[in-house]
Amino acid sequence: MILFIEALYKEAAPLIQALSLKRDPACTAFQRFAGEDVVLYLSGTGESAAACCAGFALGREENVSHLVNLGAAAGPAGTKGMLFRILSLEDLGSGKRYYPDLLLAADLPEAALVTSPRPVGREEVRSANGNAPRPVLFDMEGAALFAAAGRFLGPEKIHIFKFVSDDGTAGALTPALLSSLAEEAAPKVLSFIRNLPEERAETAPPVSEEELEETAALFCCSAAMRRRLYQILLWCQLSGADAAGEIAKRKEAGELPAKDRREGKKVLDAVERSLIGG
Amino acid sequence: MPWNEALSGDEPRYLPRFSHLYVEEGAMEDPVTKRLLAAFPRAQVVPIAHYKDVFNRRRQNILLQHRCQNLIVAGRREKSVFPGAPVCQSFGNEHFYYCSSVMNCLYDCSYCYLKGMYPSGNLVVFADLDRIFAEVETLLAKFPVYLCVSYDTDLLPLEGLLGYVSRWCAFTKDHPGLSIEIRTKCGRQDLFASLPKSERVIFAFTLSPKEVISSYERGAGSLAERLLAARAAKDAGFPIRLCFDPMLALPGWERAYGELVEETAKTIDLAGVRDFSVGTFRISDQYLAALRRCEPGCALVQYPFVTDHGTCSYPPALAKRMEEFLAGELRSRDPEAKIFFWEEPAT
Repeated sequence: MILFIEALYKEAAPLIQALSLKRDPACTAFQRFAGEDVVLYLSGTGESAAACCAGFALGREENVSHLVNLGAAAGPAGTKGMLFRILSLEDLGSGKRYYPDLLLAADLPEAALVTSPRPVGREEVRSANGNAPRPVLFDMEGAALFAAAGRFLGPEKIHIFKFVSDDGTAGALTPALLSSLAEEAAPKVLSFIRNLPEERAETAPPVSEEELEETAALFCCSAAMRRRLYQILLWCQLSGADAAGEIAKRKEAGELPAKDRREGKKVLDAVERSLIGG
Repeated sequence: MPWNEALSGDEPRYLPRFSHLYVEEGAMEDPVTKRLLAAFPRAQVVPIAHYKDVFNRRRQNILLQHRCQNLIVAGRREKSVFPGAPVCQSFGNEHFYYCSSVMNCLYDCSYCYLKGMYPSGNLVVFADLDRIFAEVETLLAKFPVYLCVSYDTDLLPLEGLLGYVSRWCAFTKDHPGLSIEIRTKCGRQDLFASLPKSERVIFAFTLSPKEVISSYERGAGSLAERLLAARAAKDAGFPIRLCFDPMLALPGWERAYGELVEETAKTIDLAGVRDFSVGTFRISDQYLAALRRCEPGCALVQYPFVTDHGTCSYPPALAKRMEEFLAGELRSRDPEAKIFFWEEPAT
């Protein structure tokens, strides 16, 4: 499932529309919009709101494979309207830095993001961009969102995108401008998430709980024997060794079910030796 | 409408290796850093405060990171030379140390302990090799040192980028009390002739059966390449060590390791090999737990190992049978072969 967290409705509106998301009236802590395999939350502005919302959403939603944030940021002159993928985030208050793992191609320019507890001015934006190797943008949520989400998701699963709405000049960002820039940016972000790898449910062939229980009962397993049995069964599945055949043979010979734990341990030792060549 | 239908899925496009170079701000002007930046002119350079800010992030996907590995360049750290670990062979050397000038490896071996030891699949290069040399010199002032310089990495495939093998060879040549081992799975044969020669620089080639290399040692040199590389090192005047370590209990291991020794003896005159290392797979229980999480579908690491004093290994009888088999194969071809076993001195 893809989880979007957006600060403002105007930033989210093009995504809600494109993905046909429906408002969930049952969720009252944060506005929640849901579709099939995608949900979007509105966090409100500021670091606390973003971190709370990320914790709330990731604690509540099951099987979130990626988190995406798209929002406005102040940036250097000449970048207005441009959409950037964020490759580093800094919490201005603590100085702590965070790094998303950029493993997937995005065909977007990359920028650093500084998250400030208050709106920054034009001079601050200009000064931060003085000798920077790439644009430095300013927002009020990114680093906090990333820090909270990083408790739940790996750094390759958190994707932060920012479009430059202004250069820090007070009053430059109007609601109409925000809507129009978000509309421009949304298709590019949707194009990126189209290429996200789908989560594989389980890489290893699992040993089912039933199979383990049933087999453990044959050996009168203790907790430690059960763990060992699980590892033997798992290895047999992966390597193609015939655990079922070996156990059937022991049943035929009358060794299983074992009469007690001590006998069970002896048979388990013998089964293990036979299967793994110990 | 489901998002993946609405957006009609394409295949994920991964970035190429070293698309991003994370460089500690203090190491930005180091010559090694400059060399790396020049080698990857299209890479995005990200200044960082400390390598651990990137390397030690929570919940990293090591397998994916190996697919599109990035490079972290670090400046100096307090300590880079450490006493050899109990699971490593000392080859009879009293003062056995290893050092990390690079952490992690270009190769992606499924069974590698580094996946259990490190939280990341990215490479860390410590740019200040002179500082590490100074640390070694401090030890050399007290006693002769046997140092493994390519343990938590494989320096040979990185030589074109870093030049560390050459610098270690020159440093060893100038310090009579120092012997070093450079362990590798690299198949490059062109390097040895140009390296500063020293009898105290041992090139140790890890050899595995072909089926292990093709299935579990992604990116490493083929068996034929490794053997030719070993021969090139020997021809260039370096002592060589052949490491049948770790031996892996794959189905049909006897045939596989028998063929491996046969192939080895066809390419290399075993009598000219300084020594051999023979050991079955072993790993600390903590590293194994992390490695198993990282490689959940790999039979080699999901094997039901026996744990003894925190070290996981094959059942003793199997391990003994495997090691004796390999040693027998070697001795049948070279009765004088000097073979080292883990936990045992030279036989």
